Amino acid sequence: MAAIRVLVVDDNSVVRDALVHIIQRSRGLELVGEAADGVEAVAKATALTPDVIVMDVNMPRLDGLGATRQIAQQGLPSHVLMLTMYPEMAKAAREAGASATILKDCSAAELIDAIRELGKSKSTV
Amino acid sequence: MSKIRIMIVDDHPIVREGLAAILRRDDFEIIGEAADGRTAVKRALNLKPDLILMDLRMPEMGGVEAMEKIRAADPNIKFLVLTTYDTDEMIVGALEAGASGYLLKDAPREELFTAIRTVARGEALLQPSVAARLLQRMTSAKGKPATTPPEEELSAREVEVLQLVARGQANKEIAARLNITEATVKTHLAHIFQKLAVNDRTEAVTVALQRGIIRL
Repeated sequence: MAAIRVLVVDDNSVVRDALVHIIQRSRGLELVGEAADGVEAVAKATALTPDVIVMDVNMPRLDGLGATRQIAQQGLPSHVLMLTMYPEMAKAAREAGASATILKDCSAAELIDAIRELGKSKSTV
Repeated sequence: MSKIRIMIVDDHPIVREGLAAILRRDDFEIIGEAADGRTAVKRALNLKPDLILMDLRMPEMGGVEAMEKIRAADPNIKFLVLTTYDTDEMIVGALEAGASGYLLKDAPREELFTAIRTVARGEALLQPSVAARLLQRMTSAKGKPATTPPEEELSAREVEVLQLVARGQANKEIAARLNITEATVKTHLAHIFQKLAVNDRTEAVTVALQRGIIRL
């Protein structure tokens, strides 16, 4: 089975590095790119068409909700997994076009499970 | 040279796990982790790390309170704050609690490595944007420019001692560095406190920075 191709988007380099590490060491996941803000995220999503985009919410230039909206409007096939500190963000994330939301205090295993779940549904679309 | 023994304190498991992995790839040893301030205090006093990478906002007990408690029990442990927040209150609170370094989570990896080595050596390091906020606050709080001359000038030696205090060095380390006795360091500090009209080291450093006597 082909690996799930993942794009990581977070403006905090420490958090981004952490996410990258977790994805790189997980079987069945392939890191295809990183972005530090929403503008970069939209550009990389367009160029790389990842299966799953792990997207932070609060970022400079264009936030995660705005980037998700643009990605959805472009009809890109990628699933956005919104990564947030606030549970109440789930509704706004869904309305922007995110496929799922996960809290930042999740464990690495929960994050990987969420990515795999979205990757699986992608293959059946 | 022995590896710097680090404890990571952050309430986000993915950040802890990722940080540990990144640091292990370099020349650092991760000896423990904690998800809140209370656990951090317990583990720090048990594990005696060289340095603690400390988040500030956490459940149970925040980073500032944890640093105060750890420092009271073991003043040798160094703190490098790694946080998303850069409000004046948080910066000042963290420095007063004993942090020798303050970095935001948007700092590049190399900057984090440099900060860890700097703080572990007993020196201080603030991210430039954080230092700027701190100095601005100190200047505006007193309503006078940072270059206001002191009432009574410190001697060159006293400035030297205070500079080392500002870098987080203990009296013993300062004595060794300047090749004087610990008692002499204490005498210098007493004179410094008197001349600056302050009661403790933190206040002395704050006033000296504000007046431009020392620099971080």
